[in-house]
Amino acid sequence: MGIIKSSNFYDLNVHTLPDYADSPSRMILEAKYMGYSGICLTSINTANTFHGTDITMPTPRDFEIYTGIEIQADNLSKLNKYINRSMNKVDIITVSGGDEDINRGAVENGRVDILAHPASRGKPLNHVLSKAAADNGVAIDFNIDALIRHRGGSRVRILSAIRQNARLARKFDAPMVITSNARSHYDLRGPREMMALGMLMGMTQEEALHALSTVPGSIINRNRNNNRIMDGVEVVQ
Amino acid sequence: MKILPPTLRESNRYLAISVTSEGDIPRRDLVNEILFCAATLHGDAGSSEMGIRLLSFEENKGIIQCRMDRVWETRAVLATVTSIKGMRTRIKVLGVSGTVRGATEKYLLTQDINEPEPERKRTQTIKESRMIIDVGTISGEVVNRNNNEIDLLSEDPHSLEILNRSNTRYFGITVFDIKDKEIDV
Repeated sequence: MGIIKSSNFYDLNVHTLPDYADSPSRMILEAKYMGYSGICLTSINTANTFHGTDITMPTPRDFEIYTGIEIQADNLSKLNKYINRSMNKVDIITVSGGDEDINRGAVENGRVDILAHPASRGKPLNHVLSKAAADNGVAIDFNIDALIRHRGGSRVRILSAIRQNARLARKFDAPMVITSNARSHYDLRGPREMMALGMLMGMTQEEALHALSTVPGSIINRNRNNNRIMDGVEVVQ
Repeated sequence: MKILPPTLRESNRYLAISVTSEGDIPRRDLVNEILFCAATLHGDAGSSEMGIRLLSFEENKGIIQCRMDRVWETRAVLATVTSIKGMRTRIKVLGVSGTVRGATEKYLLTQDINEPEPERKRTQTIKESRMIIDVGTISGEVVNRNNNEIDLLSEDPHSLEILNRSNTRYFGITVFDIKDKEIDV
């Protein structure tokens, strides 16, 4: 248990006003209470515009706030357009997955940081996409809201697709992250609860721990310190 | 009749929990919801192995018993509780201990010294004075106030659409969001 206690946890996909019902400062307070070291406030809207989050409160001690955008697109050319437009504006670029074409476009674009809920339509990734995700450093998202928001048949379908994703990600060594995809502070869960759900999704305890701490940490590090030279090339030391 | 000797008893863990909700949750509804979630997530056979029991529940804090080797599964079950009787609910596990006394003393009575987290009291319900506040994009009536955190009820169509999307009843804001207006509760 020592290693869990000494880890810093991050939740990289949390939605706030004006898209969803909680203000950024409320979300930050709640996330701090749940035991996180940082969260990413992700804009999500049909126009795919990033509305700068002006946080009206002093940042809590030992807490980091990142900005992001979750891009929703219905075809590849629009997806790439939105990705190019959002670059250098946000810390973390997330693509809203589910559609097979969009999943492929996201994992093949090295500027994307996270492919969010790739299994939301019940279709798992395949070996080609998992390998591309590993090569381009695009993290595959395991969103716990699939488990807490759905019940019955749809949950079964999504969960079995997610398990397949976990198996392939392990095989090809693609980065995995666990996010809450929270739409209000009632959707936030503590880090250990997220790990428990990650273990239900077919991860080992160790993988679940890394998916909440070191993997998000390295994504942030890579983007914040401008270590990225070009797609797939970054300064490690 | 003789009681089962200690060596033959199941060994248990005790989870201290704290419940956040849009309204007051009676003990019975909480128990039913947790057991229902256990049954939907792990099935009847799986939940019988976990041995979940709610031992005490007062002032939105309680203790849950489960089998020693099923703590992770129990955490997953508690994480899937999203609403009780139509009110959005969130359960946070404060900590796990090997005895009821340990869980109570470590997690329910004392406060963490490292993090001076203000004590979470039951949210006050404001009935007498209607308070309307304006937070830039939304405005509405204060429903609950808990230290810096405010729940806001708003009924204009645009706000209702956002609330619907988020599946909540109230907007969650803080005192920091309110511009140049002081409110007292």
